[in-house]
Amino acid sequence: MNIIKPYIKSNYSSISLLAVIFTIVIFHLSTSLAFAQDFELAVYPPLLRVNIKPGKSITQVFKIDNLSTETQTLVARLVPFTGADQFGNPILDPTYQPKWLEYFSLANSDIQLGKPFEIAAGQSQQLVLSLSVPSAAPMKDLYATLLISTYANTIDTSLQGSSLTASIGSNLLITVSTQLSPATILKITDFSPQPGSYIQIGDTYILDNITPVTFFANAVNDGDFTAESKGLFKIQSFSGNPVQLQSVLPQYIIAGSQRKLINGDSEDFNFTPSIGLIGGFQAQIEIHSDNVNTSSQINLIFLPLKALFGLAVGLSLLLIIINLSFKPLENQ
Amino acid sequence: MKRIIYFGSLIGLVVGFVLLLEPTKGKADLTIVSDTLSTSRLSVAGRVLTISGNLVTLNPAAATNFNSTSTANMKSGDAITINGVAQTVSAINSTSANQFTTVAAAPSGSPGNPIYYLSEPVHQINFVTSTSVPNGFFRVLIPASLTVNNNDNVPDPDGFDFNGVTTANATASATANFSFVSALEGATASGGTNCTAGYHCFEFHYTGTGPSGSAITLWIGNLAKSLIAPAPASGHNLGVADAYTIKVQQFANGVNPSSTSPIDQTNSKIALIENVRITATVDPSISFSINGMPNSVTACGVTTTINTQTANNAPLTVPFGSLVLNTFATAAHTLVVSTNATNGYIVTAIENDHMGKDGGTTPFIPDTTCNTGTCTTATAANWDVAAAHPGFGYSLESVSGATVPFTAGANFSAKPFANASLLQPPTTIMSSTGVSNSHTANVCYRISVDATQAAGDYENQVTYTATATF
Repeated sequence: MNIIKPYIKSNYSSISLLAVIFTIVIFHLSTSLAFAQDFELAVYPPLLRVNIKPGKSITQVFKIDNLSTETQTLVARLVPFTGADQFGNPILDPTYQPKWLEYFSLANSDIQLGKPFEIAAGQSQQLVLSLSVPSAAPMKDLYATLLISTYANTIDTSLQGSSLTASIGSNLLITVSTQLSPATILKITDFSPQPGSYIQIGDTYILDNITPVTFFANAVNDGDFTAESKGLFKIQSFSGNPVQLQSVLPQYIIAGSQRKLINGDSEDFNFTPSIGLIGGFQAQIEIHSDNVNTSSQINLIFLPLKALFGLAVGLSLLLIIINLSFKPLENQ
Repeated sequence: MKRIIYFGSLIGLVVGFVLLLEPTKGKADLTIVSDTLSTSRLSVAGRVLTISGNLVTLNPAAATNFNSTSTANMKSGDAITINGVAQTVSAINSTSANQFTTVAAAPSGSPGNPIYYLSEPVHQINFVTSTSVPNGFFRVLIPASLTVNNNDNVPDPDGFDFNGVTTANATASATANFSFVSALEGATASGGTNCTAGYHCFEFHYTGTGPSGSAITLWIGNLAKSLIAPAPASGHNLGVADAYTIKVQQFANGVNPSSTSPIDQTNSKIALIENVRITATVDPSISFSINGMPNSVTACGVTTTINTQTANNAPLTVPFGSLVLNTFATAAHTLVVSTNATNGYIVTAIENDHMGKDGGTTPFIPDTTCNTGTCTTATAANWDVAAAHPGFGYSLESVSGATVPFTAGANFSAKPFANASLLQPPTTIMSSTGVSNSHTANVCYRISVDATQAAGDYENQVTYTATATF
C-alpha cells in the first residue's frame, strides 16, 4: 500500500493537470478562435431569354446552391436594368421601379421576393419565378436581374471595418411581343482596322501585306427589341473570293445598347495576311439573326509597304556606298 | 477388259498424282480466326451542300462514292478535311441531321466538295495453326475496292484504302517456334506484285518448325498508320453494319502465294458501322465564392495585417479593428468565379457609403484619393504612403484566369469603392468573356486615418455582385 498510495496521489495530480489543460484548451477554442469559414453560392440558369405574348404566362425554376459550410440567410430580389456595357454586362439600377416588375412573382409557398430565407450548408433551394404578362401590356423588352444576396438583419456595432454583402445574379431578357422575332434596328459601327496599323485615304484603308491586323466593330441596337449577333466576318476580293472567314460570336444586344463584336473564339477579328496578298479587298461583317439583317464593309488595299520601305532603305544605302566609293576616285 | 483395267489404272494414277501435287488443299483450316478492329467505325465520305462561316451542311443526297449523308457518324473533335483542307469538328448540330460546325472558319466550299473523316483501325488478327509448316509464312488479305483508287488515302465505299502503309506498320507477336523475319514481311496494295486485285496483301514470314496448334497474333496498322476503313457502302442503312471478308492463309516456304494454293486458309468477317455519338447537356450555371485570408500573408504585393478568415461573420467582413494613426491596415479576400456560360461573367463592387462613425453618415473616414489625390473610382493610382493620405480603398490582383481592371503593382495602385450614396455606378473588379473554371482574384482593402479622425467605430457595407454576361 505504501507503494500504491504515492502512485495514486501522483495519478490524481496528473489527471487534475490534464483536466485543467483540457478545460483551458476547450475554453480557448470556443471563445477566442473562430474556424475558417467560406461562402459560396451558385445559381442556375445564369441567363433566361424569353419571348412571350401579352396575356400569356410562363414559369421558370431557378436553382440556388449553397456551397458554403454554413447555413446562409439570403434574399431574392428583381433588379431591373435598362442598359448594358459593350461587353454585355447589365448596368443594374436598384432605384428604378418600373410597373412591369409586378408581372413577376415567386410561386414558392414559403419564399417571397424581398423576404429572407435560409438554405442549409450544402443544400439547394428552387425559386419558382412566375411571369404573367397582362393582355394590355405594351410590346417591348423587359430586362432585369434576379439577384440572390446575403442578408443580415443585425448590425455588428463592434465592427470597425466593412461588412460584405455577396450577390449572385441571373439575367432575364424578356421580349413581350405578339411576334416570335420582332424586328429591331441593328447598326454596325466603328468598323475599322486597329488604329495605327493603316493609312486611310477616304474610306479606303491601306495596310501592309505582312503585318497582322486586328479589326474592331461594334453593333448598336437602335430598335426596341433584343437582337443576336449571329453572323460572319470575312475578307474577300472584289470578285467575292474570300481569303478569311470567321464567325461572329452570337451575343445578345439589348435594345438601346452597344456591343463589341468578337469572333467565335471570343477574340478580336485577327487577320494575318500573306506576302502574296496584294491589291484591293473588302472586309465585311454580316449579321443575320431571326429579327435583323445588317452588314458593313470597308475597302482595304494590301501593299508590301514594309518590303518597299526595306528596299528603299537598301537602295539608299547602296547609293551612299557607291557615292562614297567613287568620291576617292574623283579626288585621285 | 484388260483395256478397261489399263485405263482405270491410268486414270487412278493421274488423279493420285494430281492429289499428290496439291496435298494440302482443303486439308485443314486455321482455327479460331478473328480480326479485331481497334475501332469498328466507318469512315466518312460526304459532300458539301453549303458552308457559312463555321457552319457546314452535308449534302443529304448520296452520290457515287459519297454515301455519308448525315452527321450520324461524326462527333465533336473529329479531324476532317473539307475539299482537302484540314478542319476540326467543333460541334454537331443537335437539331439538324446534316449540319456541323468547325473550330476554324471552314474554307469557302463549292457544293459537291468532298468531306472526309478517316477511320484508321488497327487490325489484330488471331488464329491457331492446324498444320505443321516449317519455315513458312502467313498471308492476310484485306478487302480492297475494285471500283475506285484503293491507295489514294481517302475512304473508299467498298473496301479498305491502303493509305500507303508499309511493313513498318505491320508486326507479328513473338510465338514459340515461329521466328518472324521482319525483313521478309510484305505489304502490298491490291493489284501489286503477287497480290491479286480486290485484296491488300500482308505477308509474315517465319523460320522455325511452325507446329500446329500454335496461337498466332498478327497486327496490321499501328498508331503511325493504318488502312483506312471503308466509308458507307452504296445503299447503306444507318445503324446497319457493312460486312467485309478477310482471308488468313498459311503457305510453305518459298512459294508464290498468287499462284499457289495455301496449305491452310480460313475466312473471317469484319463489320463496320457508324459510331454511337453519346451526348449530354451540361446546364449553364455560375458560382461565386468569397474566401477570407489570414494576416501576415502576401496579397496584392503587400502583407496583410488583418485576418478575414476567422473573424466574427467571416468571411463576409473586413474587421480592421483599432487603427494606428498614419499607418496602413491591410486585409484581403479571395474571390472565385466559375461559370460555363459562354459569354463569361462579371463581378462588380459598390459600397453603400463612406465608412461612417457608428454606422452613421458623419463623421466618416473618406474614400482614398491615393498618394497624389488622383485616384478615383475610374482611375487607379499609387497609395503606399499612409501619412497625410488617410482614406479607405482597395486594390486587385488576378490570381488565376480573371481579368481585373487594374493591379496593385509595386506601389499598391488603388481606387476607392464606388459609393452608392453618391449615385456612383458599381465598378467592375473581375470579369471574363468566356467560360471560366475557378477564376480567382484577390481584393485587398487598405485603410489609414490621421489624428483629425474622431474616435469611434466606423463601418460601411461593400456589395459584390456576380452575374453571367449575356
